[in-house]
Amino acid sequence: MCRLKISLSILFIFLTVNARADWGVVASMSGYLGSYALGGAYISTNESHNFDIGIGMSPGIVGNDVYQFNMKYVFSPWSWEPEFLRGFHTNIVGTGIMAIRCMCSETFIRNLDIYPEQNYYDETAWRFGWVIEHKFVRDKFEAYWDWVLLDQIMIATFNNREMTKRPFDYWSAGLGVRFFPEW
Amino acid sequence: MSKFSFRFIFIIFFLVACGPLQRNSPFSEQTLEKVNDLNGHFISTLQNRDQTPQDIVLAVLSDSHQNYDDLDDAIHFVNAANPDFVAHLGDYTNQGYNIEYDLYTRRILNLSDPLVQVIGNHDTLTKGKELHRRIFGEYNRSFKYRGYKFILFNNCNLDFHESGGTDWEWLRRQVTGETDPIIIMQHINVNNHDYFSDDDINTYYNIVSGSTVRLVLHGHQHEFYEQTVNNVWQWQTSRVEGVNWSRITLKPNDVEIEKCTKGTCTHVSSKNFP
Repeated sequence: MCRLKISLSILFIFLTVNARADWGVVASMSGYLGSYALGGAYISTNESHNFDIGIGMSPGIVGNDVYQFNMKYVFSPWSWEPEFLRGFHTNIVGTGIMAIRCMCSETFIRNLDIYPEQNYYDETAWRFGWVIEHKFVRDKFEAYWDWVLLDQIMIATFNNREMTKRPFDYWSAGLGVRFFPEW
Repeated sequence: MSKFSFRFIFIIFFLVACGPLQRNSPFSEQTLEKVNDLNGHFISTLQNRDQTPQDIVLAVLSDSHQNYDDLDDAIHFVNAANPDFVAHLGDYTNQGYNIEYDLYTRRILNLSDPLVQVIGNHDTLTKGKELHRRIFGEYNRSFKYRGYKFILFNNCNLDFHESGGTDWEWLRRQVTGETDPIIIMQHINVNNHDYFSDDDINTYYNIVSGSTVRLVLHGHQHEFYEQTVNNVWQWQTSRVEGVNWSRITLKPNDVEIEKCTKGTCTHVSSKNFP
């Protein structure tokens, strides 16, 4: 995985550029969003708003590979182009939300009528999270890393006294690239 | 591009790429804790001890869900009690996610004594069935230790509905004809009409009544409760929230039940088996 991420960073650095378009593609290796994810990306004209929609995949060990539907929104109000980045600029930090929905319906409750009530279990197919993203941009390419905090932390916080002892329990980290070609 | 900016970018990517946060999708079977067949491992540990029949002290936990602080505290008091081994009767997660399996596994590895794990209904959600089987081993298992037979029984009937539900015939094979005293450990209470039909309940009592089963241990209902139905003695352990656990003392001819909160255990009941 380290070698692949190094390759991604090298690819990002050496590709040449033209002006960015609004729609593009995104590829990532992104923790909660899946071992591998691919999808479409949209960026607003002022580059403050990023929307990613795609499919993530995580390989199975004894069962089938897991696929999931990913949605991510990041708001990046700042842009910084320091001289030492030589033509790259960065959003410094962006924040947003993500939603994932498992496409593996057989994993979840079926035949709900066999259970005493319809909501016998909490929803398990959807999960949500808070996103922090830091990206580097050069013309039509972006490379980012993100941290996602899973919503399960809210249940855990309610049921535990000392969440500060476990600050990283519900975080994942990931890397990705976006490409906005001239269509 | 300057060397500084190269290094700057690579440092950022390395921090994330090769850092400690290698989490995966919560819907997958991947876990950070790389452990397999813990039940098998701990049962082997027990069976490598002296098997001469003697008193056995068993600590019982159940329904810890996401009460990690209380589970940590319970483990501390269980360790201080120095039991022969520990049994967790299921519902050690809330929704069966790999994250929850990691958070639980990490904690039970702090136990000083072997642990045997039963699957609970919540643990079957998401990829929980695969995770439990990989991390703890087969859902149904039995072993002998110092003159007793212990049965880990998966009776999450509804949650295994699509694969035939509870394996009553397996339980029958474990119980019928056995001469050693038996302790059954399962998650769901025997006479749970949400989970079992009247036929299921009758099947269970037909298997167990008149056998050498001395005690059935279960959780699921989140409070301490004792009952004897059809001559089958049953003890329900409370959920871990509040640092609750049980201590069961098994002697060649006696069984004693104590309910414990933190470090204090109170006698509940005992029976003599001549």
